[in-house]
Amino acid sequence: MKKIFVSFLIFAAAATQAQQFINTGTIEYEVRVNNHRMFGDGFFAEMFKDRMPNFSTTYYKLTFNDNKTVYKFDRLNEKDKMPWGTNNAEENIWYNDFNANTRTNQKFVFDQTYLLADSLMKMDWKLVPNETREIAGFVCRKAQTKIFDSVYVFAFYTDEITVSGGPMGIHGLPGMILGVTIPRMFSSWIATKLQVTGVNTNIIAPPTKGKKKPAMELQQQVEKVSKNWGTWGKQSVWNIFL
Amino acid sequence: MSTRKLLFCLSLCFIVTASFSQTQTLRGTLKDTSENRALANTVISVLTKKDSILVKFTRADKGGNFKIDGLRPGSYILLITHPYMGDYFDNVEIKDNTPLDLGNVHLTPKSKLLAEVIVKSGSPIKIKGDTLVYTADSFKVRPGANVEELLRRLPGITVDKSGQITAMGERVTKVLVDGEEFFGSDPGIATKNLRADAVQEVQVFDKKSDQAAFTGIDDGVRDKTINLKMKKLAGYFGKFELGGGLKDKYDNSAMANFFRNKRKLAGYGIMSNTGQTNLDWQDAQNYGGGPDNMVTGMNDDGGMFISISSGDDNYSGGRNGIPRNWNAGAHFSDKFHNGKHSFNSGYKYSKVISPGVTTTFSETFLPNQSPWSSNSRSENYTSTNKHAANMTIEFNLDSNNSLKWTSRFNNNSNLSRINYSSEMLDENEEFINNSTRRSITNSDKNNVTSNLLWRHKFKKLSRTLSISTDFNWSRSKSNGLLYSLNNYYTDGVLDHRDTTDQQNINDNINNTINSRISYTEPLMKDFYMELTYGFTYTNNKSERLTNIKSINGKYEEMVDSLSNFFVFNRTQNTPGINFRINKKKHNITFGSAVDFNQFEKKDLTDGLITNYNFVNFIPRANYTYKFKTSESLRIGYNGSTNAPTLEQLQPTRVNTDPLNVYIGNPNLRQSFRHNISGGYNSYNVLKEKNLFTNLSFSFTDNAFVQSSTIDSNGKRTYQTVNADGNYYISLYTNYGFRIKFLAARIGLGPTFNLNRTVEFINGFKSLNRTKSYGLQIYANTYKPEQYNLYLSSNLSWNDTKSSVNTNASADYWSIGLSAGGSKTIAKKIDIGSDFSVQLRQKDPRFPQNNSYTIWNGSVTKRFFKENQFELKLQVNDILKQNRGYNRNFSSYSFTETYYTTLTRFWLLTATWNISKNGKPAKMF
Repeated sequence: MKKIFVSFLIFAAAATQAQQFINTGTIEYEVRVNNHRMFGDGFFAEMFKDRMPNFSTTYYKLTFNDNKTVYKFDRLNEKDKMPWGTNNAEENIWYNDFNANTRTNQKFVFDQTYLLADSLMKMDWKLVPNETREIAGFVCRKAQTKIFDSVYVFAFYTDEITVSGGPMGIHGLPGMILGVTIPRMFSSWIATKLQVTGVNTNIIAPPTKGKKKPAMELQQQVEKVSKNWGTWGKQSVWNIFL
Repeated sequence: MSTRKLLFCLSLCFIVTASFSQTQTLRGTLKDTSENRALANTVISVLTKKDSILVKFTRADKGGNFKIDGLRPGSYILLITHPYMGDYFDNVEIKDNTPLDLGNVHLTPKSKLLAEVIVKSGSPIKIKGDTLVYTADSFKVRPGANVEELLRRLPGITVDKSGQITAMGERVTKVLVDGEEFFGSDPGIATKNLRADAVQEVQVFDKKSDQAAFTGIDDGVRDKTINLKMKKLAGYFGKFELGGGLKDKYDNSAMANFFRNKRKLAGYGIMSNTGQTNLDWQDAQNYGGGPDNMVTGMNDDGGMFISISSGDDNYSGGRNGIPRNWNAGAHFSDKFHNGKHSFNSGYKYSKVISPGVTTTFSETFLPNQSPWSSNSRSENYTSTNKHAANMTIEFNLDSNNSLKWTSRFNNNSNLSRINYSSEMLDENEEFINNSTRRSITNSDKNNVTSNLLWRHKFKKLSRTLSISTDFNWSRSKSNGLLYSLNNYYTDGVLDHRDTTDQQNINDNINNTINSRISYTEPLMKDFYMELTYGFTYTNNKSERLTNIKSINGKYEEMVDSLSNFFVFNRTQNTPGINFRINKKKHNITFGSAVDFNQFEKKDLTDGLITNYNFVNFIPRANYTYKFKTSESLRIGYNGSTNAPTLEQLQPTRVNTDPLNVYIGNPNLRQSFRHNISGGYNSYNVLKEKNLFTNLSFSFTDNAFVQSSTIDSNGKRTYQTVNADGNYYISLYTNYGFRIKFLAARIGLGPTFNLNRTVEFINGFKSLNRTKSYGLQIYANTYKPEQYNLYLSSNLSWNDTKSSVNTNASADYWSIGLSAGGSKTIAKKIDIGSDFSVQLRQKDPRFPQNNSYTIWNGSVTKRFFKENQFELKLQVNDILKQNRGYNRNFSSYSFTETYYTTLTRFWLLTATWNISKNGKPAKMF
């Protein structure tokens, strides 16, 4: 009897609030990278620019429920894919638990899959609440922060989604981040779709594959070997550990 | 517990309690002004007042209640947002020891707010759909001012203390630079970081949202946008080097690059007699339009490659004399239509004069004959003038079509004077023959090449077509005088002599048309088929005149036997098919091309026409297994048929060297070369470890080998014949790793080469086998701006044997070692030094010491903040041991060669780097 009453309450609450606030769903992000800019202006880049597309597009899916998210590669756009390099993007899984303030990432780093557990990245956001932008039908507010000491991140979040997550390890705003641009990575992540019904929330679980290692230890290792790679070195650190 | 410890604990407790007492709670309840509803899930954010940093946030519960803990005392902004409610801003002050309860907070629905805004919006200035343009230079700002200061001067635009920009009463949400976002869309970043004097125009307009621009679907959102149109980026960079050393060494160069946006005009000049015969790789990129001898491309599985062939301008360490050279070049390039179309052109001139002396000593062992020795000395003087011009135009018509047109023109004129003398001695040191030869030759070569390439991508993914057509015209003319005197001896007594005194005039014209079509069809996922068809037509006219002196002492009497006029035509059709499978773990390619060749040789002097037809097969197969991204195993087979050249079948008679005469072999058949190779490569990035291995085995059926007949006078007649039994094996390994405590990278690897060739000497079949076992070791370590050290060595054991005569066999070890480094010893002072050591085991048959050490050293002092000025003192070959030396073993002889080369010199060089708004580009 009690059970029925509780579910009735939930139903009533849902009836009044469902259209406003979302706490379960799947967001598709369109990730665009400006290859020409990323390769820089060196001779090497100039030689190969005409052989690669200016922009490459990939799609990632963020599934969220119960204040936990999982972010995974979905597909790439065959038309503008880079002609070289094996795509190991499907090896990467980001799992964030905002209740416990922890993350578990499965990352393919150079030639091995690692399982990296850590607390969530600390991000100090500066809000620009007057500036808004509509993304995937949601009015999003702007916020900005710095990661890896010097890399500016511009994010647009909506408070209509109650999970404080976002693509990859980006989080910490009063709502879901639907748009991110990181100029120094020449990349943008913009939500194109939100699915709220029929979401398979079973996939929201920490990844288990890979060699266990503290995230910081691996980051220091990668920073050390990539120290002399110039700007590419930094790019690869950001790409791996964001 | 000591008192100190106790104090410490106490103070710790104090800090802890103090920090506890310093945080406070903020609470309240949200209400809807119109319906007084509770507002569950509304976001309540607390920002710092100073810089809007988000400190804490929460969502209201079902009753609209919220509570935020852990706030330190201070001034905050409370921001309450709800999708359907207007934003609520309030200043809140958190005080020590008092929780703040805001009580009921009323939010207003957006619909209501909007109505109010509409009422208010009778604002006076509004520009819709138009762009307002300010010319930046007409508004004065102080030197060095940023864009923000400039904006403050512009009427209609205001910038408040926090950097917020308002234009025509509306907040500017975007500042673009030349139409592109500058480090994201935050307006402040661009306006604070860009200098006002770099701006040409400030444009104010309403921009569609990015998403709309991206997707082409207008979402109705308009952002007030400022676009900063920058002044055309113009500038220059360059380098002037002035180097001199006693007695007569100089090395001077000047190079500059002027640019304006994508337009580039560069030029350089070099004069040197220290072996700097051309621009180095980096300078060629920046000042010369790129090195000529470099090809970049992409292979089937998407890997990029850069191949650099050794250019003909390289004298590699002063070989063949000590060159004096003058070079100059200019390069112009520009891009149009957002970089879609490009134009590139360049011109280069070089003059190289290189006098030198080459001497050789050799021993010859013929089967069933006593050995003999021969010595020669050649004094050369060559002067080369080269002009080269090139032009490339590229059109990227649309995303599926591109056209590229490349044209080149080369002119090469050459003067060469040779004084040559040689002697051949038997084992009793008595003459077999001796000869002297003098020649002067003037030659002139012109070459024009033009290529048109069209690439098309079809709508279907990976379906592509490319058509390339080449046209080539070249003409080479030469006019030379040859005088030679050859004496032949029998038992040390002069038997006979012959003299040649003639003029040789050659004229050779070549026309080639070549076309290649390539079509790629994706058969299924990751499976591709490539169809190719190549067609080549070559027409070659070759005229040769040999004149001897007539009675009047002029070279006017034609020698019929040495004069001829030939026309060669060659038609080549090459269809091919190739399959390619690219899977994540497997890469497979296989296919073949067939090459149908028709040769026609017309002798216009006697009207004789000869035809040859050959069909060549070029099969190949390759398999790569990828264990990981950086670990792979590869195995492959390549086969190729080789057809004999016309020169091998039916050579034109030449008498320039009467001691070595080449004759044709009309019975020569095609040869077929098989190559099987495999390798394992792995690289561990994090551990910085690598293992590269490659094993290759080739053998040739019906290989082209040499058959020589040497008569008792030492005169050699040789031709090309077919034989089986040529093979080649090579093994390469390289294992590299990092040694932590030395911070150095070390690598080593054994190598092995075996080369077996067949040769015929005076009817005897000789099997020649050269083996070499090697070990390569290298190490390097560096710290940016401090030091840099490297060492590389190559140890090898060489073994040469020939079945025809074991006297010519040799086995010896040799060590090549080079080491060097540089170190910053004081502020802006670098020292550098390098060694190169060549050690060869002595051979009793070669009396001279042929081990030597080259030691170079330099001191560099850099001046000024940006190191614009540099002084360098260098001494090359401090020990004066450098010598041009070569050792060669063949089946029945061995030879050592000495040639003039650069030895010790010192040079003081002043370098001055200039730049404005730009810098020379680097590799990455």
